[in-house]
Amino acid sequence: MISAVELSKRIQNGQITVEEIVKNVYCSIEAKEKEYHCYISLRDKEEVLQEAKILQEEILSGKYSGSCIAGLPVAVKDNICTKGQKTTCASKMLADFIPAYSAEVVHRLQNAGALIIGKTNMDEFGMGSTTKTSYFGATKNPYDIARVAGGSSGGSACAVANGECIFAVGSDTGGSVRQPASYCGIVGLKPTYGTVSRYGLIAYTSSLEQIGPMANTVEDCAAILEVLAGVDKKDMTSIPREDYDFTSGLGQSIEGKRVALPKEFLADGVQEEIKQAVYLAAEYFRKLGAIVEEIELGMSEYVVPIYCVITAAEASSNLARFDGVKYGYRTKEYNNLQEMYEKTRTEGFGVEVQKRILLGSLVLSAEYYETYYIKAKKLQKLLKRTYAKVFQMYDIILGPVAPRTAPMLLEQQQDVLMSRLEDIYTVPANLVGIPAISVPFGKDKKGLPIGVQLMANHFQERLLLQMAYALERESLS
Amino acid sequence: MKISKEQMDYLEQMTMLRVPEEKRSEMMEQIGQLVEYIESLKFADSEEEDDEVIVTEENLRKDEVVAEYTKEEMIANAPEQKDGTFVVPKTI
Repeated sequence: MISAVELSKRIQNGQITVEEIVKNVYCSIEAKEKEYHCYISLRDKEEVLQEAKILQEEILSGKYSGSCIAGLPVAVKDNICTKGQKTTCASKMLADFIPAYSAEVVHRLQNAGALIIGKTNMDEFGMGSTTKTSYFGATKNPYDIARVAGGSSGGSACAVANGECIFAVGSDTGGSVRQPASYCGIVGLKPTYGTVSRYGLIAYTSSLEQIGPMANTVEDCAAILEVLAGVDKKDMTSIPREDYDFTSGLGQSIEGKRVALPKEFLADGVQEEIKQAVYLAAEYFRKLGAIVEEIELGMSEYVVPIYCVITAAEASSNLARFDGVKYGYRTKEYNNLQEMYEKTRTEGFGVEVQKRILLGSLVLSAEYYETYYIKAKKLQKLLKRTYAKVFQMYDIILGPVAPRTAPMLLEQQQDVLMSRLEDIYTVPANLVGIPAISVPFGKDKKGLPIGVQLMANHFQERLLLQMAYALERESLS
Repeated sequence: MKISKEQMDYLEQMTMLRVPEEKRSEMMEQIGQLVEYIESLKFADSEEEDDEVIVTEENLRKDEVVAEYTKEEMIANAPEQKDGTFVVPKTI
Protein backbone atom coordinates (compact mmCIF):
# COMPACT_ATOMS: atom_id res chain seq x y z
CA MET A 1 0.00 0.00 0.00
CA ILE A 2 1.49 3.32 -1.02
CA SER A 3 0.43 6.72 0.14
CA ALA A 4 -1.14 9.33 -2.12
CA VAL A 5 1.48 11.91 -1.16
CA GLU A 6 4.33 9.53 -2.01
CA LEU A 7 2.75 8.59 -5.34
CA SER A 8 2.29 12.24 -6.27
CA LYS A 9 5.97 12.90 -5.46
CA ARG A 10 6.98 10.02 -7.74
CA ILE A 11 4.93 11.53 -10.58
CA GLN A 12 6.56 14.92 -10.05
CA ASN A 13 10.01 13.22 -10.02
CA GLY A 14 9.27 11.35 -13.21
CA GLN A 15 9.50 7.92 -11.54
CA ILE A 16 5.97 6.99 -12.58
CA THR A 17 3.39 8.42 -14.96
CA VAL A 18 -0.22 9.39 -14.34
CA GLU A 19 -1.19 6.96 -17.08
CA GLU A 20 0.48 4.06 -15.26
CA ILE A 21 -1.33 4.89 -12.05
CA VAL A 22 -4.68 5.17 -13.83
CA LYS A 23 -4.12 1.81 -15.56
CA ASN A 24 -3.28 0.24 -12.23
CA VAL A 25 -6.40 1.65 -10.60
CA TYR A 26 -8.60 0.47 -13.45
CA CYS A 27 -7.03 -3.00 -13.14
CA SER A 28 -8.25 -3.07 -9.54
CA ILE A 29 -11.64 -1.82 -10.67
CA GLU A 30 -11.90 -4.51 -13.32
CA ALA A 31 -10.91 -7.19 -10.81
CA LYS A 32 -13.04 -6.08 -7.88
CA GLU A 33 -15.79 -3.64 -8.72
CA LYS A 34 -18.38 -6.17 -9.85
CA GLU A 35 -18.15 -7.93 -6.51
CA TYR A 36 -17.74 -4.97 -4.15
CA HIS A 37 -19.86 -2.30 -5.87
CA CYS A 38 -17.97 0.77 -4.67
CA TYR A 39 -19.15 2.99 -7.51
CA ILE A 40 -22.51 4.19 -8.78
CA SER A 41 -20.93 5.65 -11.89
CA LEU A 42 -17.46 5.36 -13.38
CA ARG A 43 -15.95 7.43 -16.13
CA ASP A 44 -14.91 5.67 -19.29
CA LYS A 45 -11.35 4.33 -18.95
CA GLU A 46 -10.18 5.64 -22.33
CA GLU A 47 -11.50 9.11 -21.58
CA VAL A 48 -9.67 9.11 -18.25
CA LEU A 49 -6.46 7.91 -19.88
CA GLN A 50 -6.64 10.78 -22.36
CA GLU A 51 -7.01 13.20 -19.49
CA ALA A 52 -4.14 11.46 -17.71
CA LYS A 53 -1.81 12.15 -20.65
CA ILE A 54 -2.69 15.84 -20.60
CA LEU A 55 -2.23 15.98 -16.83
CA GLN A 56 1.14 14.27 -17.13
CA GLU A 57 2.41 16.98 -19.48
CA GLU A 58 1.04 19.70 -17.27
CA ILE A 59 2.69 18.23 -14.20
CA LEU A 60 6.06 17.95 -15.93
CA SER A 61 5.72 21.55 -17.12
CA GLY A 62 5.40 22.61 -13.48
CA LYS A 63 1.75 23.59 -13.50
CA TYR A 64 0.99 21.64 -10.31
CA SER A 65 4.34 21.98 -8.60
CA GLY A 66 2.81 22.93 -5.22
CA SER A 67 0.25 20.13 -5.24
CA CYS A 68 0.48 16.90 -3.18
CA ILE A 69 -2.28 15.20 -5.14
CA ALA A 70 -1.58 16.07 -8.78
CA GLY A 71 -2.15 13.16 -11.12
CA LEU A 72 -3.96 10.99 -8.61
CA PRO A 73 -7.26 9.24 -9.38
CA VAL A 74 -9.88 10.26 -6.82
CA ALA A 75 -13.38 8.96 -6.12
CA VAL A 76 -16.11 11.39 -5.06
CA LYS A 77 -19.14 10.45 -2.99
CA ASP A 78 -22.29 10.63 -5.07
CA ASN A 79 -23.94 13.40 -3.04
CA ILE A 80 -21.29 15.87 -4.22
CA CYS A 81 -22.20 17.61 -7.48
CA THR A 82 -19.99 17.01 -10.51
CA LYS A 83 -20.89 19.06 -13.57
CA GLY A 84 -21.90 16.91 -16.49
CA GLN A 85 -21.69 13.67 -14.50
CA LYS A 86 -24.64 12.02 -12.76
CA THR A 87 -25.04 12.81 -9.07
CA THR A 88 -27.68 10.52 -7.64
CA CYS A 89 -27.38 10.53 -3.83
CA ALA A 90 -27.97 6.78 -4.31
CA SER A 91 -31.66 7.56 -4.75
CA LYS A 92 -34.29 6.84 -7.37
CA MET A 93 -35.25 10.49 -6.87
CA LEU A 94 -32.00 11.64 -8.53
CA ALA A 95 -31.13 8.55 -10.55
CA ASP A 96 -30.77 10.53 -13.79
CA PHE A 97 -29.81 13.92 -12.36
CA ILE A 98 -26.85 15.63 -14.05
CA PRO A 99 -25.76 18.79 -12.21
CA ALA A 100 -25.16 22.02 -14.12
CA TYR A 101 -22.33 22.88 -11.77
CA SER A 102 -19.64 21.26 -9.68
CA ALA A 103 -19.24 21.48 -5.95
CA GLU A 104 -16.54 23.79 -4.62
CA VAL A 105 -14.50 20.80 -3.43
CA VAL A 106 -14.58 19.33 -6.95
CA HIS A 107 -13.12 22.56 -8.34
CA ARG A 108 -10.45 22.50 -5.64
CA LEU A 109 -9.51 18.91 -6.41
CA GLN A 110 -9.35 19.60 -10.14
CA ASN A 111 -7.36 22.82 -9.63
CA ALA A 112 -4.84 20.77 -7.64
CA GLY A 113 -4.52 18.32 -10.55
CA ALA A 114 -6.48 15.38 -9.14
CA LEU A 115 -8.30 13.16 -11.60
CA ILE A 116 -11.92 12.40 -10.73
CA ILE A 117 -12.74 8.92 -12.00
CA GLY A 118 -16.12 8.11 -10.52
CA LYS A 119 -18.94 8.67 -8.04
CA THR A 120 -19.15 6.35 -5.10
CA ASN A 121 -22.00 4.44 -3.54
CA MET A 122 -23.60 5.61 -0.32
CA ASP A 123 -26.70 5.29 1.82
CA GLU A 124 -29.61 7.12 0.19
CA PHE A 125 -29.20 10.85 0.83
CA GLY A 126 -26.62 9.97 3.50
CA MET A 127 -29.22 8.35 5.74
CA GLY A 128 -27.73 5.16 7.05
CA SER A 129 -24.51 3.52 8.14
CA THR A 130 -24.18 0.50 5.85
CA THR A 131 -24.98 1.58 2.21
CA LYS A 132 -27.86 -0.92 2.38
CA THR A 133 -30.32 1.91 1.81
CA SER A 134 -28.72 2.74 -1.56
CA TYR A 135 -31.16 2.46 -4.47
CA PHE A 136 -28.32 0.78 -6.36
CA GLY A 137 -27.51 -1.90 -3.79
CA ALA A 138 -24.98 -2.16 -0.98
CA THR A 139 -21.20 -1.95 -1.07
CA LYS A 140 -19.39 -4.95 0.40
CA ASN A 141 -16.64 -4.86 2.96
CA PRO A 142 -13.16 -5.16 1.38
CA TYR A 143 -12.12 -7.67 4.07
CA ASP A 144 -15.23 -9.85 3.90
CA ILE A 145 -17.79 -9.69 1.10
CA ALA A 146 -20.46 -11.02 3.42
CA ARG A 147 -20.20 -7.83 5.46
CA VAL A 148 -21.03 -4.17 4.97
CA ALA A 149 -18.52 -1.47 4.14
CA GLY A 150 -20.20 0.92 6.54
CA GLY A 151 -21.84 4.21 5.67
CA SER A 152 -22.91 6.42 4.49
CA SER A 153 -19.58 6.92 2.65
CA GLY A 154 -19.14 3.14 2.29
CA GLY A 155 -18.39 3.23 -1.42
CA SER A 156 -15.59 5.76 -0.94
CA ALA A 157 -14.07 3.76 1.94
CA CYS A 158 -14.12 0.46 0.08
CA ALA A 159 -12.76 2.04 -3.11
CA VAL A 160 -9.71 3.33 -1.23
CA ALA A 161 -9.15 0.02 0.58
CA ASN A 162 -9.49 -1.94 -2.67
CA GLY A 163 -7.13 0.28 -4.64
CA GLU A 164 -10.03 1.29 -6.90
CA CYS A 165 -8.88 4.88 -6.38
CA ILE A 166 -5.90 6.46 -4.63
CA PHE A 167 -8.01 8.52 -2.28
CA ALA A 168 -11.62 9.60 -1.94
CA VAL A 169 -13.85 12.27 -0.48
CA GLY A 170 -16.94 11.56 1.55
CA SER A 171 -19.36 13.52 3.69
CA ASP A 172 -19.83 13.13 7.44
CA THR A 173 -23.08 14.08 9.18
CA GLY A 174 -22.88 11.74 12.18
CA GLY A 175 -19.86 9.57 11.41
CA SER A 176 -20.35 8.84 7.72
CA VAL A 177 -16.67 9.28 6.87
CA ARG A 178 -15.18 7.89 10.08
CA GLN A 179 -17.27 4.76 10.56
CA PRO A 180 -16.82 3.31 7.04
CA ALA A 181 -13.13 4.26 7.26
CA SER A 182 -12.97 2.21 10.46
CA TYR A 183 -14.84 -0.77 8.93
CA CYS A 184 -12.59 -0.73 5.84
CA GLY A 185 -9.24 -0.18 7.54
CA ILE A 186 -8.42 3.28 6.18
CA VAL A 187 -8.14 6.81 7.58
CA GLY A 188 -11.17 9.12 7.53
CA LEU A 189 -11.27 12.72 8.72
CA LYS A 190 -14.17 15.04 9.54
CA PRO A 191 -12.96 18.65 9.72
CA THR A 192 -14.20 21.45 11.98
CA TYR A 193 -17.61 22.60 10.79
CA GLY A 194 -17.20 25.41 8.29
CA THR A 195 -13.69 24.40 7.19
CA VAL A 196 -14.71 22.83 3.88
CA SER A 197 -17.33 24.46 1.67
CA ARG A 198 -20.66 22.65 1.46
CA TYR A 199 -21.51 24.35 -1.84
CA GLY A 200 -22.53 21.54 -4.14
CA LEU A 201 -22.97 18.99 -1.34
CA ILE A 202 -26.58 17.87 -1.61
CA ALA A 203 -27.88 18.71 1.83
CA TYR A 204 -29.10 16.24 4.43
CA THR A 205 -28.38 18.00 7.74
CA SER A 206 -26.88 21.35 6.84
CA SER A 207 -25.81 22.32 10.37
CA LEU A 208 -23.81 19.14 11.01
CA GLU A 209 -22.26 17.87 7.80
CA GLN A 210 -18.77 18.34 6.44
CA ILE A 211 -16.94 16.88 3.48
CA GLY A 212 -13.79 15.05 4.50
CA PRO A 213 -10.88 13.10 2.99
CA MET A 214 -10.61 9.31 3.06
CA ALA A 215 -7.22 7.79 2.33
CA ASN A 216 -4.69 5.15 3.32
CA THR A 217 -2.59 7.32 5.63
CA VAL A 218 -2.93 10.19 8.07
CA GLU A 219 -0.44 12.22 6.03
CA ASP A 220 -2.61 11.78 2.95
CA CYS A 221 -5.69 13.04 4.79
CA ALA A 222 -3.75 16.06 6.07
CA ALA A 223 -2.50 16.92 2.57
CA ILE A 224 -5.91 16.43 0.98
CA LEU A 225 -7.57 18.60 3.63
CA GLU A 226 -5.18 21.42 2.74
CA VAL A 227 -6.61 21.22 -0.79
CA LEU A 228 -10.26 20.98 0.24
CA ALA A 229 -10.30 23.59 2.99
CA GLY A 230 -10.91 27.28 2.44
CA VAL A 231 -13.51 29.97 2.85
CA ASP A 232 -16.14 30.08 0.14
CA LYS A 233 -18.54 32.99 -0.37
CA LYS A 234 -21.04 30.60 -1.92
CA ASP A 235 -21.43 28.81 1.44
CA MET A 236 -22.43 31.16 4.21
CA THR A 237 -21.47 28.65 6.87
CA SER A 238 -17.92 28.60 5.52
CA ILE A 239 -15.57 30.06 8.14
CA PRO A 240 -12.32 31.90 7.40
CA ARG A 241 -9.60 30.25 9.49
CA GLU A 242 -6.37 31.78 10.71
CA ASP A 243 -4.35 29.18 8.85
CA TYR A 244 -4.79 26.18 6.64
CA ASP A 245 -1.62 24.34 7.60
CA PHE A 246 -2.52 20.79 8.58
CA THR A 247 0.73 19.04 7.70
CA SER A 248 3.53 20.87 9.52
CA GLY A 249 2.74 19.12 12.81
CA LEU A 250 3.18 15.63 11.38
CA GLY A 251 6.18 13.90 12.94
CA GLN A 252 6.56 16.41 15.76
CA SER A 253 6.84 15.15 19.32
CA ILE A 254 3.61 14.70 21.26
CA GLU A 255 5.33 14.68 24.63
CA GLY A 256 3.24 16.41 27.24
CA LYS A 257 0.06 16.36 25.18
CA ARG A 258 -2.97 15.50 27.25
CA VAL A 259 -5.37 12.78 26.16
CA ALA A 260 -8.79 12.20 27.73
CA LEU A 261 -10.31 8.72 27.67
CA PRO A 262 -14.02 8.88 28.61
CA LYS A 263 -14.97 5.89 30.79
CA GLU A 264 -18.45 5.70 29.26
CA PHE A 265 -16.92 5.09 25.83
CA LEU A 266 -15.63 1.72 27.03
CA ALA A 267 -18.64 0.52 29.00
CA ASP A 268 -20.62 -2.67 28.36
CA GLY A 269 -21.78 -3.22 24.82
CA VAL A 270 -18.47 -2.46 23.12
CA GLN A 271 -16.81 -5.40 21.35
CA GLU A 272 -13.94 -6.59 23.57
CA GLU A 273 -11.27 -6.34 20.85
CA ILE A 274 -12.27 -2.72 20.20
CA LYS A 275 -11.91 -1.91 23.91
CA GLN A 276 -8.47 -3.52 23.89
CA ALA A 277 -7.48 -1.53 20.81
CA VAL A 278 -8.42 1.75 22.51
CA TYR A 279 -6.51 0.79 25.67
CA LEU A 280 -3.52 -0.13 23.52
CA ALA A 281 -3.73 3.23 21.73
CA ALA A 282 -3.68 4.87 25.18
CA GLU A 283 -0.53 2.88 26.01
CA TYR A 284 1.12 3.95 22.78
CA PHE A 285 0.35 7.58 23.58
CA ARG A 286 1.86 7.15 27.06
CA LYS A 287 4.95 5.54 25.53
CA LEU A 288 5.34 8.61 23.31
CA GLY A 289 5.22 10.89 26.33
CA ALA A 290 1.60 11.97 26.28
CA ILE A 291 -0.47 12.03 29.45
CA VAL A 292 -3.59 9.85 29.24
CA GLU A 293 -6.32 10.10 31.86
CA GLU A 294 -9.74 8.54 32.20
CA ILE A 295 -12.56 11.05 32.58
CA GLU A 296 -16.31 11.16 33.04
CA LEU A 297 -17.58 12.97 29.95
CA GLY A 298 -21.31 13.16 30.63
CA MET A 299 -24.36 13.54 28.41
CA SER A 300 -23.56 10.36 26.51
CA GLU A 301 -27.09 9.01 26.92
CA TYR A 302 -28.53 12.04 25.12
CA VAL A 303 -26.24 12.45 22.12
CA VAL A 304 -28.07 10.00 19.88
CA PRO A 305 -31.61 11.28 20.64
CA ILE A 306 -30.38 14.86 20.10
CA TYR A 307 -28.85 13.78 16.80
CA CYS A 308 -32.03 11.91 15.78
CA VAL A 309 -34.18 14.99 16.29
CA ILE A 310 -31.90 17.52 14.61
CA THR A 311 -31.12 15.35 11.58
CA ALA A 312 -34.77 14.37 11.06
CA ALA A 313 -35.88 18.01 11.34
CA GLU A 314 -33.31 19.33 8.88
CA ALA A 315 -33.76 16.41 6.48
CA SER A 316 -37.48 17.04 6.44
CA SER A 317 -36.80 20.62 5.41
CA ASN A 318 -33.92 19.95 3.01
CA LEU A 319 -35.68 17.17 1.13
CA ALA A 320 -38.87 19.20 0.63
CA ARG A 321 -37.29 20.51 -2.59
CA PHE A 322 -37.69 17.12 -4.29
CA ASP A 323 -41.14 17.45 -5.80
CA GLY A 324 -40.77 16.32 -9.40
CA VAL A 325 -41.11 19.84 -10.81
CA LYS A 326 -37.69 21.20 -11.71
CA TYR A 327 -35.40 18.16 -11.58
CA GLY A 328 -35.30 14.57 -10.47
CA TYR A 329 -37.85 11.81 -10.64
CA ARG A 330 -41.50 12.49 -11.53
CA THR A 331 -44.20 9.88 -11.21
CA LYS A 332 -45.74 8.73 -14.49
CA GLU A 333 -49.46 8.99 -13.72
CA TYR A 334 -51.24 11.70 -11.81
CA ASN A 335 -54.47 13.65 -12.00
CA ASN A 336 -53.41 16.87 -10.32
CA LEU A 337 -50.44 18.65 -8.79
CA GLN A 338 -51.03 17.33 -5.27
CA GLU A 339 -51.10 13.77 -6.52
CA MET A 340 -47.97 14.40 -8.55
CA TYR A 341 -46.11 15.62 -5.47
CA GLU A 342 -47.25 12.73 -3.26
CA LYS A 343 -46.66 9.94 -5.72
CA THR A 344 -43.33 11.40 -6.89
CA ARG A 345 -41.98 11.63 -3.35
CA THR A 346 -43.38 8.28 -2.18
CA GLU A 347 -42.06 6.46 -5.24
CA GLY A 348 -38.81 8.42 -5.42
CA PHE A 349 -37.63 8.11 -1.81
CA GLY A 350 -36.69 4.87 -0.07
CA VAL A 351 -38.29 3.75 3.20
CA GLU A 352 -35.54 5.05 5.49
CA VAL A 353 -35.64 8.50 3.91
CA GLN A 354 -39.43 8.64 4.19
CA LYS A 355 -39.22 7.61 7.85
CA ARG A 356 -36.81 10.43 8.68
CA ILE A 357 -38.83 13.00 6.77
CA LEU A 358 -42.00 11.97 8.64
CA LEU A 359 -40.21 12.02 12.00
CA GLY A 360 -38.72 15.40 11.15
CA SER A 361 -42.13 16.79 10.40
CA LEU A 362 -43.39 15.49 13.73
CA VAL A 363 -40.60 17.09 15.78
CA LEU A 364 -41.16 20.39 13.96
CA SER A 365 -44.95 20.34 14.26
CA ALA A 366 -46.59 22.96 16.45
CA GLU A 367 -47.59 20.36 19.04
CA TYR A 368 -44.10 18.91 19.55
CA TYR A 369 -41.69 21.65 18.43
CA GLU A 370 -40.83 22.83 21.94
CA THR A 371 -40.77 19.34 23.40
CA TYR A 372 -38.38 17.82 20.93
CA TYR A 373 -36.71 20.26 18.55
CA ILE A 374 -36.12 23.22 20.85
CA LYS A 375 -35.13 20.86 23.67
CA ALA A 376 -32.66 19.09 21.39
CA LYS A 377 -31.11 22.41 20.34
CA LYS A 378 -30.76 23.49 23.98
CA LEU A 379 -29.14 20.19 24.88
CA GLN A 380 -26.83 20.52 21.88
CA LYS A 381 -25.62 23.80 23.35
CA LEU A 382 -25.07 22.11 26.69
CA LEU A 383 -23.12 19.36 24.93
CA LYS A 384 -20.90 21.99 23.32
CA ARG A 385 -20.20 23.47 26.76
CA THR A 386 -19.45 19.99 28.13
CA TYR A 387 -16.87 19.35 25.43
CA ALA A 388 -15.44 22.87 25.75
CA LYS A 389 -14.76 22.18 29.45
CA VAL A 390 -12.93 18.94 28.55
CA PHE A 391 -10.78 20.75 26.00
CA GLN A 392 -9.74 23.29 28.62
CA MET A 393 -7.91 20.42 30.32
CA TYR A 394 -7.11 18.08 27.43
CA ASP A 395 -5.84 18.28 23.86
CA ILE A 396 -7.48 15.16 22.49
CA ILE A 397 -10.36 12.82 23.34
CA LEU A 398 -9.63 9.17 22.51
CA GLY A 399 -12.22 6.47 21.98
CA PRO A 400 -13.70 3.86 19.65
CA VAL A 401 -15.26 4.77 16.32
CA ALA A 402 -18.01 2.15 16.56
CA PRO A 403 -19.14 -0.38 19.18
CA ARG A 404 -18.38 -3.29 16.86
CA THR A 405 -16.57 -4.16 13.65
CA ALA A 406 -18.40 -4.47 10.33
CA PRO A 407 -21.70 -6.36 10.68
CA MET A 408 -23.02 -8.96 8.26
CA LEU A 409 -24.74 -7.75 5.11
CA LEU A 410 -27.65 -10.09 5.60
CA GLU A 411 -28.01 -9.39 9.30
CA GLN A 412 -31.66 -9.21 10.31
CA GLN A 413 -32.97 -5.67 10.11
CA GLN A 414 -31.96 -4.27 13.45
CA ASP A 415 -34.26 -2.74 15.91
CA VAL A 416 -34.57 0.89 14.73
CA LEU A 417 -32.98 1.99 17.97
CA MET A 418 -29.99 -0.34 17.84
CA SER A 419 -28.98 0.99 14.46
CA ARG A 420 -28.97 4.49 15.94
CA LEU A 421 -26.78 3.42 18.89
CA GLU A 422 -24.06 2.40 16.44
CA ASP A 423 -23.40 6.12 15.99
CA ILE A 424 -22.88 6.92 19.65
CA TYR A 425 -19.16 7.68 19.42
CA THR A 426 -19.18 9.60 16.18
CA VAL A 427 -22.19 11.94 16.43
CA PRO A 428 -20.79 14.15 19.22
CA ALA A 429 -18.13 15.59 16.89
CA ASN A 430 -20.84 16.66 14.45
CA LEU A 431 -23.15 18.05 17.13
CA VAL A 432 -20.31 20.06 18.66
CA GLY A 433 -18.69 20.96 15.30
CA ILE A 434 -15.22 19.71 16.22
CA PRO A 435 -12.74 17.80 14.05
CA ALA A 436 -12.40 14.03 14.44
CA ILE A 437 -10.43 11.28 12.75
CA SER A 438 -10.62 7.51 12.49
CA VAL A 439 -7.23 5.77 12.42
CA PRO A 440 -6.95 2.04 11.60
CA PHE A 441 -5.65 0.18 14.62
CA GLY A 442 -5.43 -3.54 14.25
CA LYS A 443 -8.00 -6.17 13.46
CA ASP A 444 -10.33 -8.40 15.42
CA LYS A 445 -10.22 -12.23 15.55
CA LYS A 446 -12.18 -12.42 12.30
CA GLY A 447 -9.62 -10.24 10.55
CA LEU A 448 -11.93 -7.22 10.40
CA PRO A 449 -10.38 -3.75 10.77
CA ILE A 450 -10.75 -1.76 13.97
CA GLY A 451 -10.51 2.02 14.03
CA VAL A 452 -9.80 4.30 16.96
CA GLN A 453 -11.14 7.83 17.02
CA LEU A 454 -9.44 11.02 18.08
CA MET A 455 -11.33 14.29 18.58
CA ALA A 456 -9.83 17.74 19.07
CA ASN A 457 -11.20 21.18 19.77
CA HIS A 458 -12.49 23.50 17.06
CA PHE A 459 -9.85 24.45 14.49
CA GLN A 460 -7.26 22.12 16.04
CA GLU A 461 -6.82 19.89 12.97
CA ARG A 462 -3.05 20.38 12.98
CA LEU A 463 -2.83 19.01 16.54
CA LEU A 464 -5.37 16.28 15.78
CA LEU A 465 -3.39 15.12 12.77
CA GLN A 466 -0.12 15.37 14.69
CA MET A 467 -1.49 13.01 17.34
CA ALA A 468 -3.07 10.68 14.76
CA TYR A 469 0.18 10.53 12.82
CA ALA A 470 2.13 9.64 15.95
CA LEU A 471 -0.31 6.87 16.77
CA GLU A 472 -0.22 5.55 13.23
CA ARG A 473 3.60 5.50 13.15
CA GLU A 474 3.82 3.79 16.52
CA SER A 475 1.31 1.14 15.51
CA LEU A 476 3.22 0.39 12.30
CA SER A 477 6.64 0.20 13.97
CA MET B 1 -45.64 6.59 21.92
CA LYS B 2 -48.08 5.13 19.46
CA ILE B 3 -48.64 7.20 16.32
CA SER B 4 -52.35 7.45 15.66
CA LYS B 5 -53.90 7.21 12.22
CA GLU B 6 -54.84 10.88 12.43
CA GLN B 7 -51.27 11.87 13.33
CA MET B 8 -49.94 9.81 10.45
CA ASP B 9 -52.42 11.44 8.06
CA TYR B 10 -51.28 14.85 9.27
CA LEU B 11 -47.57 14.02 8.88
CA GLU B 12 -48.16 12.70 5.38
CA GLN B 13 -50.05 15.84 4.48
CA MET B 14 -47.21 18.03 5.79
CA THR B 15 -44.51 16.05 3.98
CA MET B 16 -46.35 15.30 0.73
CA LEU B 17 -45.84 11.58 1.22
CA ARG B 18 -48.45 8.84 0.96
CA VAL B 19 -47.12 5.59 2.44
CA PRO B 20 -48.81 2.60 0.75
CA GLU B 21 -51.46 0.92 2.91
CA GLU B 22 -49.56 -2.35 3.19
CA LYS B 23 -46.52 -0.57 4.66
CA ARG B 24 -48.30 1.99 6.76
CA SER B 25 -48.64 0.14 10.04
CA GLU B 26 -44.97 -0.87 10.00
CA MET B 27 -43.93 2.72 9.30
CA MET B 28 -46.17 4.01 12.09
CA GLU B 29 -44.72 1.47 14.50
CA GLN B 30 -41.12 2.41 13.63
CA ILE B 31 -41.79 6.11 13.94
CA GLY B 32 -43.50 5.39 17.26
CA GLN B 33 -40.40 3.56 18.51
CA LEU B 34 -38.20 6.47 17.52
CA VAL B 35 -40.49 8.92 19.28
CA GLU B 36 -40.37 6.76 22.42
CA TYR B 37 -36.61 6.89 22.22
CA ILE B 38 -36.37 10.65 21.82
CA GLU B 39 -38.83 11.06 24.71
CA SER B 40 -35.77 10.73 26.95
CA LEU B 41 -34.93 14.31 25.98
CA LYS B 42 -37.96 15.48 27.98
CA PHE B 43 -36.26 14.43 31.18
CA ALA B 44 -32.85 15.92 30.43
CA ASP B 45 -31.97 19.08 32.27
CA SER B 46 -31.04 21.66 29.66
CA GLU B 47 -30.26 24.13 32.46
CA GLU B 48 -30.57 27.71 31.34
CA GLU B 49 -29.54 27.15 27.75
CA ASP B 50 -31.48 29.00 25.12
CA ASP B 51 -31.67 28.07 21.48
CA GLU B 52 -30.64 31.43 20.08
CA VAL B 53 -28.63 31.35 16.89
CA ILE B 54 -26.51 34.34 15.99
CA VAL B 55 -25.90 35.33 12.37
CA THR B 56 -23.04 37.72 11.76
CA GLU B 57 -23.18 40.38 9.07
CA GLU B 58 -19.75 39.40 7.72
CA ASN B 59 -21.04 36.07 6.42
CA LEU B 60 -23.63 37.61 4.12
CA ARG B 61 -22.71 38.31 0.52
CA LYS B 62 -23.63 41.45 -1.41
CA ASP B 63 -27.13 41.45 -2.81
CA GLU B 64 -26.09 41.45 -6.44
CA VAL B 65 -26.98 39.19 -9.33
CA VAL B 66 -24.17 36.94 -10.45
CA ALA B 67 -25.32 35.03 -13.52
CA GLU B 68 -23.33 31.82 -13.53
CA TYR B 69 -25.62 29.48 -15.43
CA THR B 70 -27.75 29.70 -18.54
CA LYS B 71 -31.47 29.06 -18.53
CA GLU B 72 -30.86 26.02 -20.71
CA GLU B 73 -28.45 24.51 -18.19
CA MET B 74 -30.86 25.06 -15.33
CA ILE B 75 -33.82 23.56 -17.15
CA ALA B 76 -31.95 20.59 -18.57
CA ASN B 77 -33.00 18.24 -15.77
CA ALA B 78 -36.69 19.12 -15.89
CA PRO B 79 -38.95 16.06 -16.12
CA GLU B 80 -41.08 18.01 -18.58
CA GLN B 81 -40.33 21.36 -20.18
CA LYS B 82 -41.71 23.59 -22.92
CA ASP B 83 -40.27 26.76 -24.40
CA GLY B 84 -37.90 27.21 -21.48
CA THR B 85 -40.51 26.68 -18.79
CA PHE B 86 -41.22 23.84 -16.36
CA VAL B 87 -44.44 22.03 -17.26
CA VAL B 88 -46.65 21.01 -14.34
CA PRO B 89 -50.29 19.92 -13.99
CA LYS B 90 -52.82 22.71 -14.26
CA THR B 91 -53.46 24.33 -10.91
CA ILE B 92 -56.12 26.90 -11.78
